[in-house]
Amino acid sequence: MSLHFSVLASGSTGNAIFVETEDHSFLVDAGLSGKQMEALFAKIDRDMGKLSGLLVTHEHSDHIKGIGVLARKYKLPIYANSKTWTAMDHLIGEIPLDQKFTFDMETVKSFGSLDIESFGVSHDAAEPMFYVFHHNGKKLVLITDTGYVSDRMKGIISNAEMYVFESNHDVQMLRMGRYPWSIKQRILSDVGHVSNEDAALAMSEVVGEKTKRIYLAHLSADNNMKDLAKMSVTQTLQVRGHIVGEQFELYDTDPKIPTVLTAV
Amino acid sequence: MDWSKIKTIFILSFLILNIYLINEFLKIRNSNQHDYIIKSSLENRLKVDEIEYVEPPKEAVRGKYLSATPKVFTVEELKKETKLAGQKVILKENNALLESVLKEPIKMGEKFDPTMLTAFMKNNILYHEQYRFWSKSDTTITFYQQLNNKVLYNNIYGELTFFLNDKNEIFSYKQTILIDIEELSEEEKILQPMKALETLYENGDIKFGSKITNIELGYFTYVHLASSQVLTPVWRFVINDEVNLFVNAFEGQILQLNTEERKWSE
Repeated sequence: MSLHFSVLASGSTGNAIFVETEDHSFLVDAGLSGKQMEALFAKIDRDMGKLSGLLVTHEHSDHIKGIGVLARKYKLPIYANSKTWTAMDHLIGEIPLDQKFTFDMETVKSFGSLDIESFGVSHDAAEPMFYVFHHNGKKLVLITDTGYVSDRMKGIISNAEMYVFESNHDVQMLRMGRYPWSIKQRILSDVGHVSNEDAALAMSEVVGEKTKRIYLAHLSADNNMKDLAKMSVTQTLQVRGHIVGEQFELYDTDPKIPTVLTAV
Repeated sequence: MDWSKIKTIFILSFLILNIYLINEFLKIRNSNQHDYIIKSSLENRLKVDEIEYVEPPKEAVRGKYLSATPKVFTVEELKKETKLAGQKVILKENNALLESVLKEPIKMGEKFDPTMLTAFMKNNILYHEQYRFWSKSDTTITFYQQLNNKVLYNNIYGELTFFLNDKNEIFSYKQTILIDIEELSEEEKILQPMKALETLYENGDIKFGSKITNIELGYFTYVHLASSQVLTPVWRFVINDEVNLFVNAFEGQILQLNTEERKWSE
């Protein structure tokens, strides 16, 4: 069995990504309630009780809302770095010590044939990090919640088969929108979220001959639209010499509807 | 102290308290009435300020954003156009801007009427039916592109501008046009025109004694992308047949259509 994944939910209302191999399966973040998470699992026909663990990217509520409930109910191990543990410990309720595991930034953990590599991102959390899944020479990159994509990040995530890539907002929509100025500043900052255009520019530098699919993720409900994100990313990539539809495909993600479970 | 004195003190204390509470209640009630007067209907407030307005159009309750792409003209296609026979045409701005000089200038009458240009446009301008008259100055006559009778306001990529010489003759024009106009999938509620008018009124944009001479729905560029644009529905209010005010019909904010920003980079 190859590496499979589904973006169960993506956006400011909650994020969760399911990844599985033949002998292990993980949930990266659980930003919706336990009940909602169970409903999403049912939609992809998977059993939450069979998960090998929960990987946490950072302590913001749209990433950890259901973590505590699910860990307690299904006795699942939780993996997060030390700073994230400290920041989220009081937010997720009591977790037995034998379910708490540290997964430091820029380290690799192996689970059978699956290697999970963590890398730091630039976001206003304690120590935010995302993951690259390596399996049988193939690579799945998850990268959202970052104000920018640094050269270091680009080096780690380059030439993957598939990406789940943040495409949070359109800068013009955000500027004209109704958010208070302080929030606009936060989103636009280096520790905020990456825009459609900046995401596309970063993509243009990391996609390679292996790249087949890019999933646009963590779209703002107020400052972006699925069609707009796709158009913006497609056109910016085109300007940089990458033809969507020929080299690779772009896909949507949704706050409530899981993407089809896909083999990497 | 005996029981009867205690009773009297209690009765007096509660009497004073009741008087105080009744007084407070009356004050609150009066202030609410005052608020009610302030928050009277928009129609009444406009009437008080002697602001008149035409009947607002009845539009669909929900609408969609549009995407559109500036047409890139090609020299080959222009060569085939018989309409351009009497013109010297050049392409600029990555061929999205057509500039033409007429070999024979067209004389305009003393009293301008856009219909004066109907026959000329029909015979000499590509896609002439897609433009609607917008404004005239001493040196220019501007048309904007329209879609289903809705104008794409202030759109540098959907504009037809004629240039007049000092003999009041059209001697040249420039033209852009948007193509591949499609609805995006996201659907949103369209703000009712009176709600949009209220936003302008409360912002102090409509002065005492004004007359709103036209209210219509059109489109305005919301997002510029690398090779296309996204347009959002906007309400246009014409004040005293002179001033145009625009309100985003989805988001409700007042739009500043700064003409300075519209100019080509050159």
